[in-house]
Amino acid sequence: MKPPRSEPTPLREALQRQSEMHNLSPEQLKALRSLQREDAPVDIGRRRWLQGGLAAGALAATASGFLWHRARLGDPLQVLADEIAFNHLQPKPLDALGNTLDALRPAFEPLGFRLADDPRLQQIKGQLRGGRYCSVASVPAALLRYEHAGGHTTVYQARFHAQRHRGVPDIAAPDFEVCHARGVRVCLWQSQGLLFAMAFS
Amino acid sequence: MRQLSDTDYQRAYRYAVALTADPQHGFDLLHATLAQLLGKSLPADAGLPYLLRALRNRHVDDCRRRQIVLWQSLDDEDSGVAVIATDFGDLEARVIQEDLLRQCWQRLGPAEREVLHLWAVEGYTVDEIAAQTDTPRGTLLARLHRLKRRLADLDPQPSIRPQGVRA
Repeated sequence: MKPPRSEPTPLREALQRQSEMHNLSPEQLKALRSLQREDAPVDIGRRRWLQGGLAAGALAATASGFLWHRARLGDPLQVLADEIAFNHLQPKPLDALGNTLDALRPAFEPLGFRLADDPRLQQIKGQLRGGRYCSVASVPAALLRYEHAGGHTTVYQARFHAQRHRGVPDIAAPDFEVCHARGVRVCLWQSQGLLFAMAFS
Repeated sequence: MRQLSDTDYQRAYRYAVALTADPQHGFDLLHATLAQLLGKSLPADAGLPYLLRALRNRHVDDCRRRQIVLWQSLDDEDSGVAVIATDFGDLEARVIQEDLLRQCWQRLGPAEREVLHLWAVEGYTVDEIAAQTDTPRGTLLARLHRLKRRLADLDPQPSIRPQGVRA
């Protein structure tokens, strides 16, 4: 038996209703707003006001800021590792496919930096499959996915942002520090003016 | 770039979903396009129309790069197709079952979904769609003509076929 069909509706109205079924979730809206905040021009008057305020409060902030920050926000490196691990655990479709960095570079040129190689990336098992646009601490980044029989490894590259990526060590290759977040092993370092991060399954 | 409101984001998202025919891919497209616009020196008054245009360009690039969709077949090369002067008049009079529309939607091409979306949801005229999508008016009219035939082919109910179009 065929299911009952809906009543005929004017095409325009049917298209409008179908479109209105699609709404951004609050989380998606938040993600888009945060992207645009990154791009917002700085109001000069407001910046001067802020600079004056910051200068006046500098001594007090120096005395108490570090402890307050640690207590309130936690270790900045750990916050970054948590974001890296979260994205690693939720693989999404790749924007560009390619098995080498050379093949993927053109796809990520709009990010304003060149995908770089690093000796530490040699430790990754598996084959590079492709990349996806993403962000690390609201800084646009490239996500590169390597796949192997036992799972996948995710590598992130972004322009190093001293404020947003604070706490990320500048260690000479081939060394790097390892931390854990959400049960995932995460390595972060800065090199060649870029932030690098690796997350292992 | 001008600060976008939540309504602007929703409109851009719905346009992206119309292009991709998939909510998740639509969001990915919108997110990637905004990230791409980051840091570029854009006109201060660049707002939603600018974003919609960037979304479209990005989607066309993606399709061509990944060869998931043969977008070029939608760029309307009208060899062998008799182009007739037309507008949205026939579509205005058309009725369709909503469940049938949902079934047909995936089978339409991105350019066809785009035209329908801009007409029905954004309320654009033929000239406005031509300007927004950088499509010559004649090409757009030919696309509309084919779209009407395609809708008739997709719809097995004789009662909702547009008049004058042979199945």
